[in-house]
Amino acid sequence: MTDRTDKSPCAPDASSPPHVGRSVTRVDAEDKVRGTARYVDDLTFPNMLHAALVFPGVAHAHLKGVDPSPALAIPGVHAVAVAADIPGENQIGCVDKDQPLMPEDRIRYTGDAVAVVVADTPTLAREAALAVRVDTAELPAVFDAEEAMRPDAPSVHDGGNTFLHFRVRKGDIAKGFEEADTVVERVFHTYHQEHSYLEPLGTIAVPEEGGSITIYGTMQCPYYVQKAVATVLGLPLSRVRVRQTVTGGGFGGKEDAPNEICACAALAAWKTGRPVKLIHTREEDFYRSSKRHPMSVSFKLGAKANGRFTAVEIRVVADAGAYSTLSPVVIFRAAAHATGPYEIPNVKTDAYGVYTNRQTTGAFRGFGQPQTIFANESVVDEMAERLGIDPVELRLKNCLAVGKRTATGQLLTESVGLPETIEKARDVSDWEKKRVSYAGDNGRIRRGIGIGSIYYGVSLGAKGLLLDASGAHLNVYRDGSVRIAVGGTEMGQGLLTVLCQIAADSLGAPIESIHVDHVDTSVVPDSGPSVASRTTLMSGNAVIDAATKLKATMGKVAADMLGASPDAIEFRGGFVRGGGGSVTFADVANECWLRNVNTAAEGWYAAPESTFDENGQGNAYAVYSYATHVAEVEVDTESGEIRLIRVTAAHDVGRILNPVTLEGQIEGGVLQCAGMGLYERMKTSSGDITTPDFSTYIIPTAMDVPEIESVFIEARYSKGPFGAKGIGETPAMPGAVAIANAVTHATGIRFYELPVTAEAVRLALSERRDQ
Amino acid sequence: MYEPVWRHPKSLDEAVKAIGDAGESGRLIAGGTDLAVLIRKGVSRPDVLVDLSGVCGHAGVTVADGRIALGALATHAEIGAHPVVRERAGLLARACSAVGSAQTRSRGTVGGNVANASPAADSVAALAALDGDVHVLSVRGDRVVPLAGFFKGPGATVLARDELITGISFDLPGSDARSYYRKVGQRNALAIAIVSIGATFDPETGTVRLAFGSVAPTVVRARAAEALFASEWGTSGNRPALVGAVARLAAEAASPIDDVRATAEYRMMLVETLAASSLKEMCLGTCA
Repeated sequence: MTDRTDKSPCAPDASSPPHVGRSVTRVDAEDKVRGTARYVDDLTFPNMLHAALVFPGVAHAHLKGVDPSPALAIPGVHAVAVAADIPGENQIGCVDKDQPLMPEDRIRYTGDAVAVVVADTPTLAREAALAVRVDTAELPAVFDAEEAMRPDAPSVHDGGNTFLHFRVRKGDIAKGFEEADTVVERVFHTYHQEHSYLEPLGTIAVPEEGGSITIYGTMQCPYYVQKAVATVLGLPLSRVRVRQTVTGGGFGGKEDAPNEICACAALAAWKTGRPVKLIHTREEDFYRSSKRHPMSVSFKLGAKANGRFTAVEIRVVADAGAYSTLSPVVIFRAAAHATGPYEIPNVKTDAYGVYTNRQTTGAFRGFGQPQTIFANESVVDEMAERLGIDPVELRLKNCLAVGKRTATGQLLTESVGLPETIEKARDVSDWEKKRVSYAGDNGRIRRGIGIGSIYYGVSLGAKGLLLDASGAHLNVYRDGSVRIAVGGTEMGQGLLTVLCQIAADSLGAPIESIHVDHVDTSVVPDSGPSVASRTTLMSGNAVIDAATKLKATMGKVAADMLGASPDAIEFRGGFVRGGGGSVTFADVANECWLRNVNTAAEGWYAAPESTFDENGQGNAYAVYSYATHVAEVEVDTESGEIRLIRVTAAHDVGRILNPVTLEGQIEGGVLQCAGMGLYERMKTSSGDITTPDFSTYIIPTAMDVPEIESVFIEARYSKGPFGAKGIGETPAMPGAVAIANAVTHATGIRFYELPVTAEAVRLALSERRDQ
Repeated sequence: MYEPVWRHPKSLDEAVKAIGDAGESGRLIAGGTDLAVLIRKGVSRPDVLVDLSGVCGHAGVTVADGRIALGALATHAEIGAHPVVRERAGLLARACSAVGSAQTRSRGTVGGNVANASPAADSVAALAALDGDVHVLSVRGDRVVPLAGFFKGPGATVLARDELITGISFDLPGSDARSYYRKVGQRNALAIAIVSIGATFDPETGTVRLAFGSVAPTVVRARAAEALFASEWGTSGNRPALVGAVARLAAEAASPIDDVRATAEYRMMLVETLAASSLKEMCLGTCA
């Protein structure tokens, strides 16, 4: 795969934008390869101290007292901050106000921290943290969501454990199931998955003169952090400045989790008056960061003999952990998409969010959907088997397309590349041939091929509850160089590069002259979170908006310089043309400077309105992205070991902005799918994590990477930047179930929980032999 | 704050003196791939660390007098790449190449792997099937301990506090000897064994040795199964049936537990399956 640009179905020509659609080298590549990129732990400040958190390590208890004196007696320890030191509100709940920064009277999970110890070194701070005396009285705890729903279960918060219920009601399921010739009903289970980003959570809080504070840190959502720190310190937002440092991966794990660590460091800095650095170890990160929701999904699907789906009934129970964090948004998404990407006339979905005394669960690439996808795409396969229809055919027969309606009744009017993702994945993977030939394997190694298709509402949607708009600030200097600030974050996905391309083409400036900064909340207005595959769409459109404004003002000057009409001015590739003449972009910038014309502009883009009524009907999201993965496996029937040999990943992205970064997004997602499908399960015992590190929590390594064939489909989105829509989440969604379906094809055994481990396969094979 | 005292002996004599002087809370450290992890976790906090990396003459692999001798400081990478080990003791080469990652294999030593006494130690299942001997030294002199009697349990060996391992040796297997090593782990690299098997077959004597990792408190040999094989192989009229019976008996050597990697039930299945597989491949020349 050396020539990546040729994968674009739209060959570049003179009318194509010069940069959008090309494999422009990542602007941050050199710094990252050389090791000169500065992550938060690489930064230091004069007089900086180091903090560590105090974890009582109990899952549910009354907190009777915290005595910092033994820690304070250790030389080199400067302070211990506790809840009573919080000058503002002890509250960091992201959506619901149910989470204190530090519990005052009740500990609800093993990740609750009750004090922040500040010392000369991180090692000393950690040792001193162990010296803080914490007095607790244990309470009965609950570690399973289904158990937590029972009326006699211990209550994690006052008022019962079931705190969320989203419904989708469409048509009449009784009638729908009556019309069905075949009904498949199954229950599926998934468990905690850890984000496993390379760089653990970390921050530095720096008190500034004038009663302000600056927070540096690894994060996806600087405006969340700004709000959390302002709340905890009791400061106006204007006095809290958040600067995102180079961020080593997020995957949703740095959506809201940085709020806690940054607020803890801010409190410590406020108390000591000195900069305070707080960096989690990997183990602390496991305890403290959010996870993918464990879900149990009951899925009942009815279909006519011809394959048409008639009705679906779904019940989703999601373990939210000790606090609601982002569950209200995640579980909304799960509910809205739970049917899978099919037009089904009769739908009944109930999705519940339940408190337990376990790690909090929230945003994780796919955002509540991969769990329900495992259910719907498994049942679709089982239905195909019952009906004697090929799984690909069954999907094509029912899948969403322009003119069809989603489960929420939304009429899809544009940019639905789903059927094409299925067809391309089928053709590129050579599905039809392999489906037959693999089924003939009868030796120790059996091969299998499986499929999974998904849809994903781009951006926050109707129940996003949070700001769904984004800003950009473009500043053209007199030499024609451009500095851009946006509110969306680069976390490794390639945003800075793609924004350079968008800016270069929408401004007509040379791409080398453009620089995009990491987010600084003092420069760009609140732009919402960098989540939900929304950042290229939102920040990209904001950049285009600012560029359009700049071209209008600069265009007038250029028209004057060229003696042309302003309407005839064209900005392209570093030149401004009109009236038969041309000047460079830099010439125009300089002329603006000489004429006192402002060459800075603000851009803004707000998402189209979306709706979701009490019956779960409405235009839940403005637009959807679509994907189909086909996975091929080899199963060793002797040991149960599964080798993922090939994945064909077909994605409808609206418009390819950068083929190589897009491919990177897809390949990383395929690996996360392999993790969820085959390896990853955070295990707990009485609320304690028994796999808190990478020797026990198993993620795929480079040695487990399959051959990956990425296939791009471009069903343009009219409101997207150059027609693009989101890609962030979708690569991590269809693969796990495609793998499970492939293992089923290889072994004839269906699996109802993920991951499908070698042990699960071997035990199932031997059970079958015994029968 | 934890700050151990470091000793850096330059010779074996200095090393045994240093560990002898260190007393109860002294530990030897070579590659550090096990100990550094335990120290970071706070599980082990030795007051004195005796660093063996500067001790000369105890790395590498030597082939002499019908024996293969591994210096205690030989790394997994060195052993895995050694041509004679690869040719004559393929199971050991494969076992060493299955350790952790390239980084761990380049730092970790066979002496450390044995001394750490993990029942899951990759090299140990192979060394047990090679009937290895452990060479031990202290200020009181040297001794040789058969690997079979070296381990007392997870993390526990017969080594006295002041003793160190200088090397491991075993008979050079014949040119027609066969061997087998396989590790079933949770992924392809950086995997700790769920079950591992090291096995050898000597066609001349009609004997096999079968050793299993991660199925008991120490690496275990399936002695009864080996005895059954030795007594019947030469005369058996139905060798495939014998192989099956030997594999079933081999499983009785295992007493696995449930842990974070796998259940005992799965491990029991693997022991019998892997034993059968190894025997079929080594003795019958067939792959299942």
